[in-house]
Amino acid sequence: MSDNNLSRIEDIFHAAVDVSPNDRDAYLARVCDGDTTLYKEVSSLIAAYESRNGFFEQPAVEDVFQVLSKSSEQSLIDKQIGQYRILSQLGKGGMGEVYLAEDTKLGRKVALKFISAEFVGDSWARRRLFKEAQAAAQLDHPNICNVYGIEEHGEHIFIVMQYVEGETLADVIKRKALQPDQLLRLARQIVSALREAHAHGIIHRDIKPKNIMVTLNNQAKVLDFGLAKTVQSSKPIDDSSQFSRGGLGPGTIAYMSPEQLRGEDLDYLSDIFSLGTVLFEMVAGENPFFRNSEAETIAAILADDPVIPVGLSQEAMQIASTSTKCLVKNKENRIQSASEVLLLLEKPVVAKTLRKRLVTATPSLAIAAIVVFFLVAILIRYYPSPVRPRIAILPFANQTGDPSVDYISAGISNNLIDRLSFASGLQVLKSTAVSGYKNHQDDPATIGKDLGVDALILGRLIKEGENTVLETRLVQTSDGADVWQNKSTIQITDLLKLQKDLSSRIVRSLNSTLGSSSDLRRWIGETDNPDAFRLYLLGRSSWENGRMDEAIAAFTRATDLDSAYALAWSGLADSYAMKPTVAYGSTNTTEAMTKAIAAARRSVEAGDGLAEPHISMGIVKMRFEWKWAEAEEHLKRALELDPYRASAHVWYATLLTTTGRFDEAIRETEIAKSLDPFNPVAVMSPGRAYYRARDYDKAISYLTEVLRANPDNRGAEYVLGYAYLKKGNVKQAIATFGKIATYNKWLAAAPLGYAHAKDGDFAKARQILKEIEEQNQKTDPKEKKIPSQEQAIIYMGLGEMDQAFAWLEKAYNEHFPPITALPTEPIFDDLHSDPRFSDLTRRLNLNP
Amino acid sequence: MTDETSLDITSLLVDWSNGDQNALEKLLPLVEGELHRLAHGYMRRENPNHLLQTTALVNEAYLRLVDQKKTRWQNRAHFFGIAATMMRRILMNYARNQKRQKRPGSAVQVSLSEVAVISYAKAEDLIALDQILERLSQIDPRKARVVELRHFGGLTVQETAEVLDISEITVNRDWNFAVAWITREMGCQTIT
Repeated sequence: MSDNNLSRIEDIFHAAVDVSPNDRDAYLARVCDGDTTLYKEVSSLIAAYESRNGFFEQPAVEDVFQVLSKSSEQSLIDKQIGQYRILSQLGKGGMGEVYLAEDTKLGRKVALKFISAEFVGDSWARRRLFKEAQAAAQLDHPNICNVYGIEEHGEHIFIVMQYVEGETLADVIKRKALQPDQLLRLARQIVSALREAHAHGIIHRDIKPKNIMVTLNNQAKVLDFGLAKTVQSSKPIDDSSQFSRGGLGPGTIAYMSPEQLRGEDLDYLSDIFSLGTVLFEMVAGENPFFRNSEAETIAAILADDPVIPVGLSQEAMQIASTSTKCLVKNKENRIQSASEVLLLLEKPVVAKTLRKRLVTATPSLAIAAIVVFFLVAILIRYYPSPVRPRIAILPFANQTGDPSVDYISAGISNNLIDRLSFASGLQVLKSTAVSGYKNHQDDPATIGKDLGVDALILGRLIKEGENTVLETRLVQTSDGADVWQNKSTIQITDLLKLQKDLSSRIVRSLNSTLGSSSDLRRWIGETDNPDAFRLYLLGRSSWENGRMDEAIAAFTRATDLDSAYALAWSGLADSYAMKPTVAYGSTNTTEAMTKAIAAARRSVEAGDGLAEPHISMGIVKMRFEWKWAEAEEHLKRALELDPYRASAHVWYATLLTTTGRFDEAIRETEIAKSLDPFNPVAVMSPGRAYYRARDYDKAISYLTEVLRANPDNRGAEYVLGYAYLKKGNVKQAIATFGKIATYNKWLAAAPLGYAHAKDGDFAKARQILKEIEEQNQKTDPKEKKIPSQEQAIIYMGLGEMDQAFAWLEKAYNEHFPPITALPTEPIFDDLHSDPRFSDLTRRLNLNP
Repeated sequence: MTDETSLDITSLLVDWSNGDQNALEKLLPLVEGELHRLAHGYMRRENPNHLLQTTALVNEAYLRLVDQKKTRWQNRAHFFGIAATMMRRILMNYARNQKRQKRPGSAVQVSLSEVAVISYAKAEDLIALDQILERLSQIDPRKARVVELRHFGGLTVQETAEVLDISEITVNRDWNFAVAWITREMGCQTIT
């Protein structure tokens, strides 16, 4: 075949192949028109094509598989390696075999996972193996198969694991061996194992019934963190298992999450999905997505919603409905952590008795009281199942045209949230922020589905003539139908009084149902004084809108009127604590510190059983006292008292970040975001956590997404600017801080100065320094003061480290709270090698 | 595996898709290691259907080796292309070894662990195919590549089209013609 007529040969070949064999010769003769070389060439090709034997029918890829998978298997059985005598083979994995062995020193049976001989020389596989063992060895949990260590003997490298006797969950499910209550117990154990792993930053990536052993005592043991990887490293480690055979196929694919199938970067939420398939299988007896082929299985995971079987027991129903929360295709809408899954599985059944008590407790209450009562009663009637329905209360809209009652509409919905979430039959999504869906026009069914709730409570204040009317609706998400609605004319002053009456009555009836004293104490934080209550609502509203001085004024007056008003004291502490920040522009730490500490103490004294006072105390301990262990105690107590409160998770995340525990911090922020998807701080907090964990790419993409959804999320914008700076994207950083400067000049000043310096524009950076100095010389108390720490940042940008340290030292001496971020805030990374950095860090009671 | 290795592979992949042949030479051993490892798992399936598994296996190798954050989706196609080249090399190395060791009449004792997975005759065929494919790639590199991707890489027509950025019709035409040509050349070779 020669090059020049190649395409001609080809054309004729294709045309001739299409001609029927009988006419082909004539056709060729005609087309070749006497060119015998061409004729011979094409006809020989056609003859070859027609005679092609099986050679190409059987792709060589099959042989490749044979060759690839072939390994020189030399049995280790009966050999003595170190202190281990090999007894039998338990299984095979991708990287090597797993053997049962006797530890002759300790006299116990262990499982040894060998790395295959062909990989021993591969330093890459070797490193992965050691990493796997190190990750797994961190875990110490009754429901996780222990990893004892990793050993190397001559050519052998192996992981020493606990040998678990029993059968796999897959076999247990197949035999239908367990009662519903036993299943529920196992389910909790499995979730708790996963929670432990996630707390250590380990993703399992291969949760399936074959990787879960059930011991003879019906104890679950999650095996084989072989696929586990630490969050920081980006690749999986291994796919071998102690008992199950490795490899894919519809059986394994059926437990993968949609994002895993798509080959996306995996996080904890992928495990949560896989967990959902396992939980589902436990009650349904089969995997919800398993189909005959891989392709159909994949399609089912991506598109099919599992159908919960009918006729389940209460316990099985609790597992099944929990599983559906895990099996949400879009991971954003999935239940966000193993802790939350565990909460769903651990909730006791209380609905029926509650309803009875509530009905008897409604003699002649005013309308607002009836509103709340009906909401509770109706929800319980509509959801008689033991599973707690998930509801959301959207911030009530103020449509009276009178902005002065904004705080009231917000206050009513917030109070309703607190009350309903305390009714144990419900799980309430707390969307405390007044932004978000406040005036959202979407239809409720859509919003409800977005939020993953079963029902929504909507409300608005409207004017009808002279009257102010409160309209309330309960909407079921599944069909968008109004389950119940109420319209009541109210006097605003009456309403405030009524809500107080109402809360104490509800509390009494709820407590008599629940009979728990600590629950009772939760309500001590309320006030009897209607004006104090109104001022409290006003203070909260001001606080949420960043008007700290107004918030301080309102909370101060509320506490003046009722000196035992724990929630108002808490609000006051929080407001003072936020004053000395760049954003709120005060440098007078001493006054704020004294007042915040005093208010937090009063708050805890008056309301020890409430979450808010402990959050305030945690904040004060962190920001002013630098007592990290005590702060942690208070924040953990707050989380214990109210695990659904987003702000508690956000502040706990702040503590974790400051003390360098980034993985846990990320987890907490993700929980916060899922609990309060309208709260701008909760929503941006994962972005801040990624940034602090120095995952700038993730921070940037996350925060950009947050800002796309809500361009007014200023916190997100601020952190995004810093993420750009650290990513080295100076131009974007300048653009971002430039935008921030249009609404808060001094907040943007330091990072902008730093960015200009990094951009080589020292003149601009120095100009900003000069402006800051001029601003700080103004004596009018209304003028903002720019903290010393900010000037340090600009000097750092200019490379003048002595100046930077001098200003940081000044910030330290001023006891300026944000100085506590110094050890972990990425912007200060350039200082780490300097001994003055370690010195400052130590004086902040933080480890350098 | 460390981040650095992943980064290496990712940037090598990008270099190679930009035409850097050296990058391919560095990539291949990394890919081979992973394919070997994964194939162990795949082969243990009870009802093996290797054709269906190829995509899954190579895809898994891709997920493991390449930092998805750093690459674009198109790189997956390039990766499949590399995997096919790799698979061809693996098979050819094995076949040559096989032929060397089991020369008819030679007294080389094959240990149990070395039981052949492809016959001597097949090894000879494969070596012949490899040489002819090499010649085809001198004349018409794209056709040789289609054969490599489909025959050694197990890619479907659609996947092959994606890797080479050509239409599926072209893939089919190339394939038919290449099969005809190779079959004819192999026939000639057997005679001589």
